[in-house]
Amino acid sequence: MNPFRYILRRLLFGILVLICVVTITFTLSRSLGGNTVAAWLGKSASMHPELAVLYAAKYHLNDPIPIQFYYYVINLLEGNLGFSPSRGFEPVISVIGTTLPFTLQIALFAFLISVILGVLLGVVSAKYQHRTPDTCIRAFYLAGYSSPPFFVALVLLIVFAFKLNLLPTGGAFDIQLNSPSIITGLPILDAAIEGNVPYLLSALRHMILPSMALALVTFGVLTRVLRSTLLDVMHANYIRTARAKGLDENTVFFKHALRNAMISVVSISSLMVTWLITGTIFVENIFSYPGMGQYVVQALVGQDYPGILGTTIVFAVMIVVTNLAADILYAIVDPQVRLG
Amino acid sequence: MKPNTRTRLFGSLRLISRNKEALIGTVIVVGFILTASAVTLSNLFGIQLTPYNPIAQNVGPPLAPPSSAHLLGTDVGGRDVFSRIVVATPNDVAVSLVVVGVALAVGAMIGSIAAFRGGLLDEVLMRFTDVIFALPALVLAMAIGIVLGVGVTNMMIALMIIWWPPYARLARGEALRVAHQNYIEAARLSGIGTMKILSKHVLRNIIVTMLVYATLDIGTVILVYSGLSYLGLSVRPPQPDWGEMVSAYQDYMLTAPWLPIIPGSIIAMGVIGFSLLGDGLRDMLEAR
Repeated sequence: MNPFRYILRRLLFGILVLICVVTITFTLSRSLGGNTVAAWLGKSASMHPELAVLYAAKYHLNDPIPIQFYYYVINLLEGNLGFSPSRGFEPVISVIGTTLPFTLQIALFAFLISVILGVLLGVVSAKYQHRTPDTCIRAFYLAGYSSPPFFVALVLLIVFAFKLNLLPTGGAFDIQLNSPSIITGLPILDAAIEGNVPYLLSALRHMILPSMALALVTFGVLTRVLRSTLLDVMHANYIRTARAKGLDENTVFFKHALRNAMISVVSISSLMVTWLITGTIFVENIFSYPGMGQYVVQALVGQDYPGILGTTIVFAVMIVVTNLAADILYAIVDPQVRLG
Repeated sequence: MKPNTRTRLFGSLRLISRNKEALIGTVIVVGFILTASAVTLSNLFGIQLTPYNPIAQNVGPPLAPPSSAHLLGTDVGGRDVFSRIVVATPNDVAVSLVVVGVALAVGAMIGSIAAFRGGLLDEVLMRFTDVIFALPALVLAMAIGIVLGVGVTNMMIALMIIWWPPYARLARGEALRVAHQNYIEAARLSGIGTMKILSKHVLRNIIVTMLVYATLDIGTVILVYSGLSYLGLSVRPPQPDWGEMVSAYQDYMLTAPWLPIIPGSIIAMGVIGFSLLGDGLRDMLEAR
């Protein structure tokens, strides 16, 4: 297949998924039972009659369903996700604006750790197939991906923060430090650009445990896939040819086999990213990390429907975008797609 | 039991017992299912199976560490943690088995129909499957769950709605593989209708592969369900549930760290059990 056609298809597919998500959240928002406004505002509907009027007008709640849907989509496109009762009726979009960068920060960091750990252990266990290192690694990743993220986070918190006192117990940085001004939006990147070293170090220290927790539950997927593809690839004809040419075993393994096996890593990375992103909900809650995951839990506890539906959309967008990126990367690295 | 079935059954048992990992997995899985069945039965007959009433407060001192009187200690209300853990077993087992079972049935149907009818129907069914597959499961289950309301059954329904797509893909692929074999051609030539071919010949041949995938998948359902439970969407307190217990007990992680760690490890153990068993079954299938 032509790579451009492939990418275009994936792009259209991503858009289709997003349309589906929006339809679902719309349906959900209208099926809360009884009066949508009352359900959205929760117990405070009677206390804030002016908000109820504002809502009904903004979302055309008294109009027929198709018209409501039209305005729902228009409002979404304008970034209008409603107001969040669990955050003192701050607009949902602004809560997401302040929390999302923190989530992206630990998710990216976790992805990095996960890939390094996953590839390293995958290579080691393929090289030592059926021997002690392989067995130990298998036990390690099996335990990792079988554990719920909140459990791993809790154990890390108890051991490294409370018992060993090595790392901070929660938050994203030391409160007394000056936050960097917003340049890229990601606090650590901004701090690095500004040269705000104390903030940067503090933020990194606060990121280690939450990111480690996320990485520990996700790296196993990668290790497992890499190990089995490497073992498959090592039996391929081109590897035999490479060996027959007289190349030494390390060149064969790293330059020929690993390079090819990495394609499977790219194809599995979207699954990993989905786990990572949903994992932030639990991990942030345990480390009181001020990201979107913590906001989701707050919204759930406070029956804050606009918050829940708004974050659902943002999570879905994040997952669709990262999956699209993985697909495009796949098209670039896999010659079967690239060369059609 | 026909002798043929018996030898096959014993053959599988021997294969499992030769694979140490699969054996461990089988023991864990059987243990969980037996516990769940025993608890469900005892509830039906109104017998208390556990050493203490799982909901009753002050059956022991608050926050007591594990001892012979309270195997896994007590929580802050003086409730027996062991009894609570045991009583919560049917939730996770039932949710995961039902969700995977429904996904398997729906997926097998959609996938094999798509494969056999082909053409536009195939295209539409599979694109629909792809779209649902691309949706973030946990987040969507959360959103659906909050609308349906808190409850074990509601979480089960939310998960059922989104869990079937990988099964449909798998079934389609397997059905396509089977479709071109001679005996299907023969059945077709002898004038048997598509539906009958599907139910009598195709499903029987794809079901083994799908069951192996399902076994591996049960662990994933347990993980996602325990996440929903942790977020307070499954049971209402004081009813116990593993995920809910971790969340309720995490406040005592300094004074009584075993409180959140025990239910968390139980979840992990269940998932490991199903993974090991699934891996073992897959190896057996590939060896065949």
